[in-house]
Amino acid sequence: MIRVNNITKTFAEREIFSNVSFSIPDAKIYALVADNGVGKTTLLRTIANIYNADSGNVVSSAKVSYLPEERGLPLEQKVFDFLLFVAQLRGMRKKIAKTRITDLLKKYSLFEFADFYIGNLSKGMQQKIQFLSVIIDNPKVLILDEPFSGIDEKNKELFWEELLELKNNGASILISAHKTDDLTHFCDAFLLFDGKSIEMVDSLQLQVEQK
Amino acid sequence: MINSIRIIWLVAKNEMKQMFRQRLFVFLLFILTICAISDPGKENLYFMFFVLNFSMALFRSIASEKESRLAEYYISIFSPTKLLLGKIKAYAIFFFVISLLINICAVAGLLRFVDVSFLPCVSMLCGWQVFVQLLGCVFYLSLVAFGASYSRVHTEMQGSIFVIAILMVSSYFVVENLADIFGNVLLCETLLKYIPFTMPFVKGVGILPMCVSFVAIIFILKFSGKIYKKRLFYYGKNKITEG
Repeated sequence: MIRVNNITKTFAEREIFSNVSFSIPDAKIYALVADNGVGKTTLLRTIANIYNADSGNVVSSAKVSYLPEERGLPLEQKVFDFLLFVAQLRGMRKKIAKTRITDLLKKYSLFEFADFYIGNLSKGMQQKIQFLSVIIDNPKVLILDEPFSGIDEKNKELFWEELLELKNNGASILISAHKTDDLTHFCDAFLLFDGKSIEMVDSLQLQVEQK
Repeated sequence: MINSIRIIWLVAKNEMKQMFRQRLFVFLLFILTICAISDPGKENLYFMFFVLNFSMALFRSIASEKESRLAEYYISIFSPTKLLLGKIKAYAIFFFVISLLINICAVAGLLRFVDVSFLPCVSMLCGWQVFVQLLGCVFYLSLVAFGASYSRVHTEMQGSIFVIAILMVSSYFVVENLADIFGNVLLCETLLKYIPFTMPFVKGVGILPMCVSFVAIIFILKFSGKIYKKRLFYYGKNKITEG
């Protein structure tokens, strides 16, 4: 569960958002939908505790796992080494982490590239590694900033499969996106954000409205 | 607490792995170590070279993480202070091992000229000097971390390294030429021990001056951590001030 209570953020005397409140219960996937430049990323960074909110607070039942929009990877590091490093940082034991990484790499057809330097892999493979680095420890609270931008359909399906599995295990997931089109079948609700207020719309209601 | 130590150690281990991949860096370290072993008595000069070498490596490491936005991912998992502390720890371990090696060789060399009965005393003095210089190295590296955390662009980072290098070189020359610059050498030495910039170059540093340096390091790193988080997203952008 994650609960956002009246958070406000200001940059250079410009109010990005004010008194934003919502909560995501356990075992739910919500999508934060807004146009470009409205402040989605700032809101997600504030929830992930990368930015400090000017006022209000964020209460989370577990440590937040966050996938940033501008995703960097250590290009001079090997795939397995990077994932092991991240898994250990997230609190996993080395032995358990190694087994989990091997399973994930096999599932995502990356096992043969485990000893490759990340910089030598294609962009698609790098995006898979970024995604794996966030879900590696089966997080209970997950925030993904535009996780599907530049991802092909096959990988999108794989990612959704993983997210739905996490949801079934009780995780609260928040995904940011520009439009609702692709998400209606997977998300439980939409948080429509216009920079000032947030309106929560049920997924079924949105599907009916769209029809 | 245990988790923090664990994270710092993991970051340090990762940093050490990255260091070994930089062949020029390892080659320079090797050459410097050989030079320092074959030229005992110039430990202050070599201290400066080692710290400059480590500063450049630390600067490169922080800059590349900021540029690639990998830093954003890391600070969503743990605090920037731990990230900086872990990186500095990696270089401190390197410095400690090299410094220990140089001092062991220096003590072995001294045995040709002094009696074996002096060995415990000489070893203790050298051992103490290793810790003094280690603290000095960490102090200068934390200044580098501060400069790299504050900088918005690559050139700003290079500028901050340049300023720190000047501070270190001038501190070295002030201590080396104490007798020429100041009249009262003893009084100046006593004062310079308490200044973290000059502390590693002064001989016979006690526990109190080391404590002063230690407090300065903690203060700089805490402040760097805060600045790192605040300035990370300004990297490569025009000046914006957070409200």
